[in-house]
Amino acid sequence: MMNSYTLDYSGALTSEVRVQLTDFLSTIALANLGKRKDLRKLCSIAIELLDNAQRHCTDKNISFEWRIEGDSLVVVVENQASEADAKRLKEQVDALREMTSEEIAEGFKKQLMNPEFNAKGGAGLGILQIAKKGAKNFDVAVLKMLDGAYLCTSKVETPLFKPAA
Amino acid sequence: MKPLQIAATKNSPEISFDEVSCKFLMKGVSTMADAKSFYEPLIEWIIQSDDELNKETVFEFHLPYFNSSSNKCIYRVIEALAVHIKHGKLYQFIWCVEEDDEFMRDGGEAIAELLGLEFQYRQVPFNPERLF
Repeated sequence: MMNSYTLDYSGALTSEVRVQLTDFLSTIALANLGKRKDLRKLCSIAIELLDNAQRHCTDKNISFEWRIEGDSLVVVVENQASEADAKRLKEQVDALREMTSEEIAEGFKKQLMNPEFNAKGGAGLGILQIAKKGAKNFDVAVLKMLDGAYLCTSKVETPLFKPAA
Repeated sequence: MKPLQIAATKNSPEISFDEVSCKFLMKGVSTMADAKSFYEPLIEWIIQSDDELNKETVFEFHLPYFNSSSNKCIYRVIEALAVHIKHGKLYQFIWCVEEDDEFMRDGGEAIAELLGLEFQYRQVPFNPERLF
């Protein structure tokens, strides 16, 4: 569903779907936020969350929401993940909350220089990238479901400062 | 030297090298999930071309958007070129930025700083048709 402020999607997440979602996101972001210097930076938060979900979701389905709420941009991604991946993501995000912006920037540089990729093709940069790009509230909730699977909900709120002229 | 001509797709950039003008170009978005598989052959091409690339080759990057795994790969591409510079090459790096777009500028500045390289930042028009 798409209206002037929101992009909602629930369903399979393949590379093709991700391309289409970013196309939609591009259209909505431009229409609602206008042409501003930090437009790609703001949208990168949603794309990184989608990348992460695509790598780690265990049933290939996700739920994605992108909305403007007052003076904030809110992105929510929900996907099933293995217990290990879900808990690791939560631990990483909880640890980020204790870090200063300088520590995050330093961590990003260190990880950028690290030539290793994880087994699922991740560079270990996505979460740091989200924090570095100005996310204000970044939370991950992990829920064990009745069938034993783990549901991972990532929510990021980013203030929409008035763009520089 | 092996020819280098890779066409752009919806989630990967065009990559080309023109031996006559000594110009390398990487242009387009880079949002594929498996960036490593895409960029590894290019890194290998660079390593193999150390002796053959003209001393004053120009490397132009026009990357409106790249995800974080592509970011690491692009860093590794330029890191491989930095090795040539240590061997005496005088490469020029042009990093295109669409009308002061913060994402594009930050990405270039981080790579240049970490590798101790000097990038020329070229302002190019904003393309609303191709945000990603």
